Amino acid sequence: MNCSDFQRRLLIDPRSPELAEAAQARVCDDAATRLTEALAFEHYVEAALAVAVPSNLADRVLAALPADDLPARRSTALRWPLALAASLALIALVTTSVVRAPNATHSLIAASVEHLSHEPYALTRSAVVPQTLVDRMFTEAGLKLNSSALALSYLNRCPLKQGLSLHMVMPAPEGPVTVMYVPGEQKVERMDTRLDMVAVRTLPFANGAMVFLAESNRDFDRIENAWHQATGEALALAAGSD
Amino acid sequence: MNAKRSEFDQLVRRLTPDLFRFAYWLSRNEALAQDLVQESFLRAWRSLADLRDEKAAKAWLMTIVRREHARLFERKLPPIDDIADVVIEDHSPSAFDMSEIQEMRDAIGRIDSKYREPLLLQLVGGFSCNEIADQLGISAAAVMTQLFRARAKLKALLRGENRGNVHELL
Repeated sequence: MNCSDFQRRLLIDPRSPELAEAAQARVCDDAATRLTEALAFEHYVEAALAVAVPSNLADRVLAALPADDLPARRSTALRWPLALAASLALIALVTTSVVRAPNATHSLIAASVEHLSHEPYALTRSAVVPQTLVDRMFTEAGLKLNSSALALSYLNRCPLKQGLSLHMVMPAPEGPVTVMYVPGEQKVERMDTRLDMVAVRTLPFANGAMVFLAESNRDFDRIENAWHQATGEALALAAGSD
Repeated sequence: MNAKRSEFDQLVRRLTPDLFRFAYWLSRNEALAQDLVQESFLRAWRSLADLRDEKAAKAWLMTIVRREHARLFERKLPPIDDIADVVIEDHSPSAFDMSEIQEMRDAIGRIDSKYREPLLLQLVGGFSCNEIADQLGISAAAVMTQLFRARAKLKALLRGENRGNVHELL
């Protein structure tokens, strides 16, 4: 290793044992000083990277894990019939529950309710999502918003049906309301219904559709109002409430 | 609770700090980083059968965090927070005062993610150049180049050199 190589490698991995040996061998006149400085810089970077970890994060991760035991690995041959059976059961359930729903609305409701179980921790968050982030993610979804009146405690881009949707949670007096915005979903009709224990509202919204999901639909009108205000649309609220 | 679950719980407690820091510096947003860690552990639990070697758990989980972050932000986004405006409480003992730490955090936040990511894997993950190369799917030589540039850019930024045009040393 020559002096030039030594200096280059100080910026790649200053803790490499080979560099300590090279410094002892004085590959450069000031190799020891350069190594000491590089290690001090490394300590400086590491101190900066060591941001404080939120208290109880590990506990919250564990609490969000399913309580049941890990499913055993199954053969592919066995897995697909089980998946098919589960899908058919879900379809049967949804057909029974929202039998009058138009097809696009029906499948959007099923997909939204199913998605709730994928991100259960979304409902437990309390910090307000920064407005800049809300605006930016909606701009990317093709919708210009004035989000100042929208208090979101959760925002994520999630796969729903065949595209990416915005999955949000809004705190409300009767409990958190999950809001899904599905860009491009234009065949959905306005509807208030229930699927199992979940109150659901669907409505056409901007260039797509919106789905509200909560334990009760009592806050849906207020939430819908807030979204119409955010887009500057005229209010057209339904009267459905528990 | 079965043995697998008990082992996984220990894994969560052991790796949460490093995964959170990794996720934080990828997303540069504390709330998103917490979500990334939660979602990644959830995905890991669902596919635990894919983990063949317990020793590889950290690399496996960091890969899940990276993919989850990429899934959320698959289109290139500008930084979520201006890192200079974010002051994070720090309880770790350090020879540096908070203004120095903040200055370095500002610099880390400003280097391009293609340089920052290998640096995170090296310093937060503790991986070698070859291991980083495996995780990122690039050559070890490319990793070395990126690590070199990451540190060179940090030094240049701390010296106050032009933030938009850091001199390339390679």
